[in-house]
Amino acid sequence: MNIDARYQMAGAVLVVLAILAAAAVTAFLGWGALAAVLFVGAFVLGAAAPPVAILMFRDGLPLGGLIGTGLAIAAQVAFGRAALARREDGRYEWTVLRETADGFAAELSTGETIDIDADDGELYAFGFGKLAVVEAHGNNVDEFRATASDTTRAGVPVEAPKASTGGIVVSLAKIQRRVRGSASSTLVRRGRDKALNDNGGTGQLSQLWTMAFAVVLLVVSFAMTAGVLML
Amino acid sequence: MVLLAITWGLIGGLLGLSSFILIPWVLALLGGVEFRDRVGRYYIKQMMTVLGDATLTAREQGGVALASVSFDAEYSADKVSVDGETGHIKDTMNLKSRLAGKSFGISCGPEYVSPLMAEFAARASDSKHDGRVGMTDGGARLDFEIPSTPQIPSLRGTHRIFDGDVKRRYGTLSNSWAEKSQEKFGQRVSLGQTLLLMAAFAVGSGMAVLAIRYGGGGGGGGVTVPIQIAAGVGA
Repeated sequence: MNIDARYQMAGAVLVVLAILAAAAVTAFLGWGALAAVLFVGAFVLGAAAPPVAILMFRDGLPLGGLIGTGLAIAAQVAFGRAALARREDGRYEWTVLRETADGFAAELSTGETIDIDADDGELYAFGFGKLAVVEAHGNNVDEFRATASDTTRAGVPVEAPKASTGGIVVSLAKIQRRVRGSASSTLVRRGRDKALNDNGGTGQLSQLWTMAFAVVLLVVSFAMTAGVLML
Repeated sequence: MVLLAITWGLIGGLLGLSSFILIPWVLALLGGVEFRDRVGRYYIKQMMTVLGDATLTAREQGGVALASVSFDAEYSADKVSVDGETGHIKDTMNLKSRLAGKSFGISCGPEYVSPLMAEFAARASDSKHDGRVGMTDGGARLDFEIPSTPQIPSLRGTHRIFDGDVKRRYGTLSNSWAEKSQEKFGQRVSLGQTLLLMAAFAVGSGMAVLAIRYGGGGGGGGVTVPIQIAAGVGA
């Protein structure tokens, strides 16, 4: 972070503090010390309430989905243009999208920068802002790289990666290994099995229980009828 | 005077509550790109604390939506509601990860995906279309090129590299349809069983009637059997 950025941030904090101090001083001069104390005390309590509530309830907060979406919108408004970047180690970071001469870039907390080859129209509209969803091309691509170093594969001439673009040659066979079994019918079968387990089957009363009930009914009806007739 | 002081207190409280959003926004607006980054990351952290486990899912009609997810043991997948429709997301490719220390993944249809997979899907599809991937005279060509600088892929198109073609809601739809079919035909007691139980009751009653009517009255009834004792036999 350069010196100018630090000054700008310090200036922003000072402006906000000055506005709050002006309100407190107005309350003090116009309506006395009690008004100023109540103003400052209530302000501090009010400001602390949302983060404390989030910290206490965490994902058990009522209307959590709605509040979560609201916070995502608040973040997007603050970012303006944001990047949801997947790092080489697989972790995600939601950060500000910086403009560069060649397009955009996302600076990660690790100090690395992901350059993004895109223009403004390719960004997703999300939460009153724009969002780029990208992944770094580093060690994470290695498992998909084509390993053959010769100029032909399977007897077919292969064009080497273009030096100008510095492209990465990946193998569909290696990608296939990763995606094997994806979007399979497992979910459908689980849905059907759940329904059948919960609600399925004609004659859920087994034959054994049916016979047992029949015998009980026979004895009960015999006793009842005999009792009635003997009265 | 006290009333006015309380009014100032109320104003302070309202300002304080709204400052959770307003003050960071003002700071982001005035503080430049570094402050925008800090403020945005703060909200993202709060968001993930509230959601706990979340996904950014590609909508079928385009765009993305953020939703919280919860693990559904009956489906061995994460349950999610997007636009009011419930479905499940599996992590077959082991791509679900973390955001701000909480469980998070990008999803397309019934699978967690990654932006790199989305790039593969787009590039492989283009290469196949251009005839650069597939069967050739000399064999099969399975290599294709992606640019070294990341691009912004269409997350919606990631399904092109999936093995199957199941969609997020198919599990719940299957459940719903199977349930409806069972509601129609799935009686707990069948007609035959019901008739058997009714017959048992009737037989019990009938036996009782017969026993009382033809049993010779209560207590000690029965058939009298004459017994002749031949006295003096052989005298």
